[in-house]
Amino acid sequence: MTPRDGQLDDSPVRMLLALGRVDGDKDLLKELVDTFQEDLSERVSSLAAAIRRGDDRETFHAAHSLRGPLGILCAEKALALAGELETLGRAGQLGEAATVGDAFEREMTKVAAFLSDFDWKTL
Amino acid sequence: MRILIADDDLLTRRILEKILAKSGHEVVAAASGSEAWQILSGQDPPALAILDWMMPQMTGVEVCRKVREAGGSVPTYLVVLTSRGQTDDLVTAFEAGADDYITKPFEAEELRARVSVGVRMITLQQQLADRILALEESLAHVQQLQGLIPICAWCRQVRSDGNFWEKVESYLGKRSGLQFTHAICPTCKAKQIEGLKHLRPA
Repeated sequence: MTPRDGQLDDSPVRMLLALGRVDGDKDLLKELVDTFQEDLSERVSSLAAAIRRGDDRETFHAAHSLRGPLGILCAEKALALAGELETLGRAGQLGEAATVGDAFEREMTKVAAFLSDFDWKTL
Repeated sequence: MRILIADDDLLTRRILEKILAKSGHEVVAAASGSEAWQILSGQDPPALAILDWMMPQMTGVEVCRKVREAGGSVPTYLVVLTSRGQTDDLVTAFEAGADDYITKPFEAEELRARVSVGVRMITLQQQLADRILALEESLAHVQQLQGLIPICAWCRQVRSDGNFWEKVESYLGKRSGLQFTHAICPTCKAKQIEGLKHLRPA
């Protein structure tokens, strides 16, 4: 099995799976990645700020809004962490959110770097 | 078919738009629940709507509830897009009036399959509504035949409302649109032939 099968691929974004999700439309996937990158750092920062403020409602909304794109792009680890933050925000239990938030920020740095450096010719 | 997609996430809207347009559908997009409700409550709304659950101002489930409350001759087919896959959540969506749901993130194939189920349902409902309309129109043209009809035991003429006597075929023709062709039954035919025999010169 090769990383291209998508099974042994431990990269933060599984591009091959994401391509399948958009019906093999490479142009569309590129457009989605570009759109996602436009305000990515801003969105991650507002989630981190909401966690720091202890604003459970905003944490929930910010995490939820990131889950959609992360799911589309098959950024599985980041998606799972955003899901945890969404759950904590919804339950109003932000006690553990700081640790999860830090892990999420680290993972999102990897996601952003991966997307910026991605060589589209390899897809 | 014209399809409304409502999602506050631009990426999801773009994917939905692209996949549905590729399948030959005309897509109308909304970025909030209230915008979706405006479109669905306006004139000539799309027959099918894909609504994200979590949207600003009004959730997809609230939009479903409002659409169902408003009614309509052919109900809009409503699909809720959700990242919540738990039974309780799905029951909430169905109780609010959703016809189906798609869990995020979705695959293009699944989206297409669920949309074609919706298209099939809408076509069936439209055919049914057309049949009902045609039946109602037919009924309006047919006067009901009911109650007791006085008929002469000898000549078989029927007494109409105005106390006139008329032939049974004329009476039924006026009230039901029935048309009669004239023939002779074997019994009458035999009787007539027998009668004619008596007319022959001995």
